[in-house]
Amino acid sequence: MDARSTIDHDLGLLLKGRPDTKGTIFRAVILSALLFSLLILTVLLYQVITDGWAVLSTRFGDFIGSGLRSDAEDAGIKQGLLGTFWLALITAIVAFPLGIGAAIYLEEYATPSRLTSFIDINIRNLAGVPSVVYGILGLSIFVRRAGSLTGGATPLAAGLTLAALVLPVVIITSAESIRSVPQPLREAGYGVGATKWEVTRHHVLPYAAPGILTGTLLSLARAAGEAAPLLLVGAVTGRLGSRYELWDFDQLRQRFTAMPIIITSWTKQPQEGFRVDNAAAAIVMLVLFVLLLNTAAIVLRSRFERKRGM
Amino acid sequence: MAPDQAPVASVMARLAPTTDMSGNKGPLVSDETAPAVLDAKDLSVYYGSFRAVRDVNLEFAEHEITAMIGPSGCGKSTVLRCLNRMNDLIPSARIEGLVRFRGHDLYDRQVDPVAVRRRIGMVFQKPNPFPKSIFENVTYGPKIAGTPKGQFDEIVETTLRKAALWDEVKDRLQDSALGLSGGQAQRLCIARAIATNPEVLLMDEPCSRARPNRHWSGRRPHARTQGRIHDRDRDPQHATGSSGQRSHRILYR
Repeated sequence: MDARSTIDHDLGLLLKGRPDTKGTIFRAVILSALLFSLLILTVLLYQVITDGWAVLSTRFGDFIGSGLRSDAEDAGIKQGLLGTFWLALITAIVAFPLGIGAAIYLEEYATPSRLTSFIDINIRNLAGVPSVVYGILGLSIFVRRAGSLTGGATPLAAGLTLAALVLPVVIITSAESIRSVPQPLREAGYGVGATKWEVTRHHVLPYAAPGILTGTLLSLARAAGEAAPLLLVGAVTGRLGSRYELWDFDQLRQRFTAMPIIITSWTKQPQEGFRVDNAAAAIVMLVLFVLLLNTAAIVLRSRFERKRGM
Repeated sequence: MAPDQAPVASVMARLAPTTDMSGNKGPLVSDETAPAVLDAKDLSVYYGSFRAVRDVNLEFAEHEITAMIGPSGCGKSTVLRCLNRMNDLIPSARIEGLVRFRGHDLYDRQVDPVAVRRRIGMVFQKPNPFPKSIFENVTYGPKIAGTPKGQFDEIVETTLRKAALWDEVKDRLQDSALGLSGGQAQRLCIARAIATNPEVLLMDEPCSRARPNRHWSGRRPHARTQGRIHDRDRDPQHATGSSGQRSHRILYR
């Protein structure tokens, strides 16, 4: 065999691979799964944006600045935006410290036992309970029993209900992030004489922070879109004050509404101006609100990760 | 088994025993009468119902370096982790027997494991630097111990010099420690451990991943007064030897 044909032979070995039929099929399947999900999302967004465009392009400021009216051309979503903003804020203030605290206790402080695994399983089950059930809970506890504190069917009661709804999810995602902190990192802290608090505060929490943040903000975004529990705790679409400003604390103990409630209400109206145009415009605004929360989650996550030096 | 051929490298403590795990004498026996700083009596360690270590009797004298050598899984790390209560972190682990530090029972109910670990430092098998800067890694121990910040610069330089890392990192002390190579990271962990001035230093195969080179003299820690690691030996011939050659005593298992 001369030199030339040896080279050709080697080249042939390099070129001829085994056919990867299954791999090719798999690739096609997962790609179509991705495209299908994107397609559904695109159709949905296209639909609401085209429907809502008339309202958003002609009277955007008026739409987000005025209250609910019986006239579709004048009606706005101001009370809904304020309501959703306050609900999200109350939910975050209540659910985040409680949930993250519970997760830290379960993962770092509690000695693993039958009781802790029982608690763990039950928190997971709670995360799967339908949101309507949380609405019933909110109605009987926060609206009725604690009515003297919350003022009945108010943003305060509704925010507490939503906090109860997201609490299990906050605990689970935070616990998962804390569990993913490498044990050698804890040992390094203990090895130089750190206390449990110092190890948790200086090493475990900073490491787990990006995961905790993403999980909690995503759960908040979900809560902001919930309509069912709010209907049960008494969200309304009539007889609301429209004079409130953003930081007006009076509205916390008054009748309230929220974006998902307005959307459900409008889509049931006979007038096309409400059912199609206004509802779609309100949906776009709610999607923007949720998008804002998710963007915040991503930005904060990458900032924390850079701080972590990864 | 010769120390150089031991399948698993050694454990280095600053102190040496007068008896070893199997009853053999180490080849480099020195002062038999030195007072025991750390000792274990009939120590058994359980993980759940599994008995990982059985009836170990050890004594470590002051100003000595002891190496424990034995095959993988024979319990070197387990014994070592009992000596500063690091095994407390494993929920299923428990011990029987006695571990004493200067005559005091380390497992007494009143003993605070945090206080134990401040006096008995540890370097782990795998380098585990904090995801912080090199500077912060070294100063973390002194910081939580309440050392004034004004001393940090000096502590960082001295400890990094002792760990033979100073020359390589002196221009990037504020960089993340995660950017260091495996061997550099381990030397940083040694610097971090000695920055708190522990009375005993437990080292769990700290050099099994460190590449021996002429600049790396951590493999030959010298016990000075107070048993401090000291890097005066820069002889490359010795730098490639096993940790056993650096020790006053060697325990075989």
